[in-house]
Amino acid sequence: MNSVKEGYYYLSTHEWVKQESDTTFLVGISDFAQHALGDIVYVALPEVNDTVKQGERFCDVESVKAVSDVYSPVSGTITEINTSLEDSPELLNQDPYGVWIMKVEGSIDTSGLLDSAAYTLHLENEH
Amino acid sequence: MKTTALTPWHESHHAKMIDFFNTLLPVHYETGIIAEHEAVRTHAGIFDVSHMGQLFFKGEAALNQARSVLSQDIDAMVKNQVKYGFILREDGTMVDDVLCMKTCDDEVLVIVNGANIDKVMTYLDQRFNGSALVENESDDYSVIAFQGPLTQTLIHSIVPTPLDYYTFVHGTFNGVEMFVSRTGYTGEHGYELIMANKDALTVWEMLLNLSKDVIPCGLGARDSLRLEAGMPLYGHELNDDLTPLDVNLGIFVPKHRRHLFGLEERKPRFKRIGFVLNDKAIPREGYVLTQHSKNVGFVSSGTFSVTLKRGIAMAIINADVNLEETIECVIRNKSYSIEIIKLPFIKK
Repeated sequence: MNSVKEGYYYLSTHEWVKQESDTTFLVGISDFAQHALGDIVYVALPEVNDTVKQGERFCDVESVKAVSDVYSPVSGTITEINTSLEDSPELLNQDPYGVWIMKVEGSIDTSGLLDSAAYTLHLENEH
Repeated sequence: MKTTALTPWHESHHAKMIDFFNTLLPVHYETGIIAEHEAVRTHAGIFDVSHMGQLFFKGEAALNQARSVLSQDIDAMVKNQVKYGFILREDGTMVDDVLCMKTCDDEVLVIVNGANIDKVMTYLDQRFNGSALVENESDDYSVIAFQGPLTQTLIHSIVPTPLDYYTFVHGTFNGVEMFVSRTGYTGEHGYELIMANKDALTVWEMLLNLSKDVIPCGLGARDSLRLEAGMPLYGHELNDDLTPLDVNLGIFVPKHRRHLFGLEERKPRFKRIGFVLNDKAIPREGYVLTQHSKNVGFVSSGTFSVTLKRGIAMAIINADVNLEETIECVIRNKSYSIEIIKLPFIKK
């Protein structure tokens, strides 16, 4: 339970970013986040070409019980969104580290992010 | 924080626990809210609702006090009958919504919301100048709701004689003294069982052992089930400022008793509606409803309907709103047209 994936960077608000190439990044939510939310029933996806900023909200994820803001761990421009989440939002529960929400062309400032060890520590301290 | 007799069971079965108005209760188990919700619609589920309060009015003097604060006409009730209604102030506003159980000719058992036990006791104390005759036995009892279509046959191995809707029996069943009522908060066929705390685990396991199709369910599924059933929840559709007439529940205040609560002449100020959203958006408590760009009300409870696969909600809107004209729900700065549905959402 609450696994942390190595090689990813995290926000303390439980989003992850995975670098694909020098300037492309995938963004999703952590295993802790999907556990905390419970059954995810709707993802209010952003749009391609939207600009996102590290630390700022870029979409909402809704479970049966509640709606939660999702923050971007990366700054840049959205080049792709995962449209399979429109009809199958539960994919985020099933495979939190394999299923991404958006692909961004941009950059990350790692000083504002947690690596997997720091995020593991964050989960232990906070929860 | 209070716990229930079943808290150790929930924790050892990996329930996600929350502080629900100062009682530690499960929101859901590992199965998740959707699976629990569906189990109750298709099979059966059990819920620990031991936070609910048990107030007894015993003897004629206590019953007289009950008569002046309960909307229900307890003299028109027969033994073993249950009636839904309210504890009302003299101005008709609601202290709580309650089930009244006629246990014998000179006694009623009133089931109050866990979150309102202290408020109800304070109100009764003030109302009767420090001489309230009510007996609060909430800490002595546990309550288990047993809900879903399979309960209709499964209950027979506990209570052999069939129970009509809104009736109950009190007795010893499988060695446990309990009240078993055919009531519930899910819109399904079901029962609520009230027993001494020491027997709660025995009954919980007795129900689970009836069939592998009976699963434990948490407050999350309870809330989504009651919302689909169009049932109000105190603190959401009901509160200290509203009368039953304001939320389309006047039917539970008999006409001949309305003068006791100043409700004879009183006109509803609001109405309670149910609606669905046909867009991919979920209405949540507090979201504003508009008509011709003017605020006309707000969402009192909203969720994703597991059965309808759409956002559903109940809302409190001004009494003069024209329901024939478009009403919109504002969700994060976007307006969505609502489709009003005659409650309940799920017709059984």
